[in-house]
Formats: sequence, C-alpha cells, structure tokens
Amino acid sequence: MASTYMGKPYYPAWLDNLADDVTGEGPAWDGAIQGAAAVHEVVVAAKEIYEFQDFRYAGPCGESSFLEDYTASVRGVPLYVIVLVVFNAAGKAQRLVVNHRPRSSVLVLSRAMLERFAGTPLAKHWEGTP
Amino acid sequence: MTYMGKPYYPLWLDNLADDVTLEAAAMDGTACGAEDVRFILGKAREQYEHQEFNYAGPCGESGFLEDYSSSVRGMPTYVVVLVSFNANGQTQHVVVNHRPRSAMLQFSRVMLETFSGTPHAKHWEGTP
Repeated sequence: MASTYMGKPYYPAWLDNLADDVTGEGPAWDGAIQGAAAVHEVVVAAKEIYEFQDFRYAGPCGESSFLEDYTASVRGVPLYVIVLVVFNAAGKAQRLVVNHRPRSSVLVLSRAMLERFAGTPLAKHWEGTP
Repeated sequence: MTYMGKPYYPLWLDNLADDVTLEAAAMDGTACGAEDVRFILGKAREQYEHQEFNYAGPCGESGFLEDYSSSVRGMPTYVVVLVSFNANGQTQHVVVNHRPRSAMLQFSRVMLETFSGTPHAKHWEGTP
C-alpha cells in the first residue's frame, strides 16, 4: 500500500511513539481502543485495508497536536480522513482520533475492520455495524 | 457553549466564502455554497444539548480546529471540526467529524428528520 506526502513516501512517526495508555477513537467504531499494543494493531490493520494513502497535510496543529489530512480508498470506495494526534507532556501520542468520511465509506471501513478482527477481543468496537 | 469556562462562538461561521464546502462523517456528499452550509450548520448546532470545547484554535498554516464534547438526544457525542481558510481569510472548507459510530449514525438520523422533504435531505438519506 503506497503512502505518500508531497510525492514522497510517508510514515507516521507518532505510531512508534505511543503512550502506554494511549486511546483511539473514531466515527468508524464504538468505544475507545485502549493501550499502545491495541492502538498500534488497529492502526496497522487499517493501513493494510487502505488501498493507498495520499496525504495533503501532515504537520503540527496547535501547541501539542499533530494533524494528518489524507485521501484513501477501501474496497474501491473513496475515503477521506483527518487524524488528530494529541501528545502528552512527555511528547508521546496520548490520544488518537481518526475521522473518516463520508458516512457510506465509514460503514464500509467499519465492516472491513469487523471482518479483520472477528473472533478477537477488539471485534467489539465494530460489532453491530449496520 | 463554553471553552475554558467562557462562552464560545465560532467566528469562522460568520465568514464563509461564497463557494464554501461542507463534508462530514455523518453525511454523504458535499454541501456547497455559503447559504446552504450556514443553514445546515445552524440546524446541526440546534441538535446539540451542550458543547464543551477542549480546544479551539489554529491548526497548521491556514486551518482552525475545534475539539468538543456534546450530547444529542442524551447520547454522548464527540466532535472534531477542521476549518480551512482561503487566501482571503474566509472559510473555504469545513469538515465535521462526529464519533463514536453509534452517535454518528444517530446524528445522521436526526439530520434526516430535520431536513426531510427538502433538497438537503439527500446527504442523510439511506442512513441505517
């Protein structure tokens, strides 16, 4: 899966700098994903499901946050994403909010994530997706 | 509507470009034009039972971010709004993101009720 920003490969450095008690939230799931291992696993799984990521912006937001604004697709459906990463005083990613749109694409992703995590403790976040 | 204990009003809402666009996790498609976007956002704000802002301020070189907690029909709803300004400083692009999924879908249903029978309803039709 190609992930590019201004024509160059992009990797989210914050993903390797998660606080132990980081939380992950978003419109595509219910509840908050808790802890570095779980958040890391979910982000990596989502990146595997994306067919590409084309970043329009990846940089600072306010005093202690980082924003990503990118276009992707899942199962051929266009998906637009804004990721807000809030850092703690130690500079670690403390809070992650992944915002997908439009609604129809959110639900396609949610179903794909439910398939990916079926039978695992993380599946609860996508169960009940219509 | 409060931010750091004081009343807050989104000034960007009064400074929409003529060709402003609105997208959202709870919508399909894009709403275009200042009149439509102002109308939709105004109706959306009426659905909130409160808004408590965790952050409202600059984001990047030409953006503005709002991060707030709310509730809609008693359901906790968390929202991130990203506003992008054009070269004239006017609001050019608004993206509204509700979460979690259950709250996003409920908000979508509420908006469909609100706009039922109007040309705007298309953005929320088909909400499960």
